[in-house]
Amino acid sequence: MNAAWSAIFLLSFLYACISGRLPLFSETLTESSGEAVQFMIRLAGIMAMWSGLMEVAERTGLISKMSRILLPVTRLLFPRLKNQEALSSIVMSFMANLFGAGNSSTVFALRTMEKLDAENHHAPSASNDMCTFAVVNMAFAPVIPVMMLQIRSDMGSTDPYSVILPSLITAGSTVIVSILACKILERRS
Amino acid sequence: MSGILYLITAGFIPAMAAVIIAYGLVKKAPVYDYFIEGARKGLTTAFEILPFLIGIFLAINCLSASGLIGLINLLFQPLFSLLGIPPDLLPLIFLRAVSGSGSLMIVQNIMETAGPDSYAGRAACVMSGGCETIIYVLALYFGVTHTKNMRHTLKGGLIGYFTGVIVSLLVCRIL
Repeated sequence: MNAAWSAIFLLSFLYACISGRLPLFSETLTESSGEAVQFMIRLAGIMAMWSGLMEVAERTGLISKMSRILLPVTRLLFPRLKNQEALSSIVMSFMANLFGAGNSSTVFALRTMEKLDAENHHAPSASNDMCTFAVVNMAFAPVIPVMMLQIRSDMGSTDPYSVILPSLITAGSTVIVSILACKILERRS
Repeated sequence: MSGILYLITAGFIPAMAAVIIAYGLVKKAPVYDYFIEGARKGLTTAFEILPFLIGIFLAINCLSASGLIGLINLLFQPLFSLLGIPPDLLPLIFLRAVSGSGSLMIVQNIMETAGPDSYAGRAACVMSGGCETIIYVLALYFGVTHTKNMRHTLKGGLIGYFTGVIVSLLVCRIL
């Protein structure tokens, strides 16, 4: 991450010098951190709301109940993970993703990562479960891409729904390949 | 059919919230107190990821402001025309990995120029629906953990990402 980040910045700077985009580059430099803060503020509200609801679900025992029902599914992906809260948190992230919950699903994912991190005893190196969850959760896509359908019909598409089946096939194969990739990569390292 | 699907999608999140609250009431738990406690934790998390967000926004914005993204597109153009991939899709394929909001604008652009029902237009929709913005997601996910080394996560994410790109191109050609 250190090398990649530095490389992106320095290469961009060099290219901006060559292509004469330095003024724009300098403007970007001053504005992008403010943009990040604005983005965080937008995210913070929905994060607080879902964290509140999740707290209710956790303390009332709803979460551990749910995870027991869904155990057969999660055991396939996370065979060694025993922590019930982490498991149900994983399931909720996946579900939120499938239903296209946008920023809400990010919140679930972050909570899951925190739980997996605790399960990993806050070690400096990520556990297999953390890697698998991050990769697979990225591959998940909304079953119905509502926003996309809206844009398509706004643009005068004759058949806005024609992308649903291709989207499902794409998401399905991406998830399967991601799972396989993780299982193979974790054995190699 | 699609009407029902819409309803399920739109209703899932509110229904989930309702179930959580109703379950808490049945259990006679102090629902509102728990909610406030959890919300406080959520705000702390949001604040904790801010440094990572600033770092990642900086890198992404530098990449596009300097025109480097454009250069990468240009370099790959011959290869793509060889494979029969519409050149309109190029910026989407590369930008989608780093920026979600930027790529949505590109999708709209593609649909405007090529038409929403063209091959490029449909492939753009499928691609942007199925491929997450890896860099941003990883910065966030590993921003809340103590992990310094994310091991094979980036590799796995990239494999998944390009699988999504390739499959969406193929599927839209066939279907």
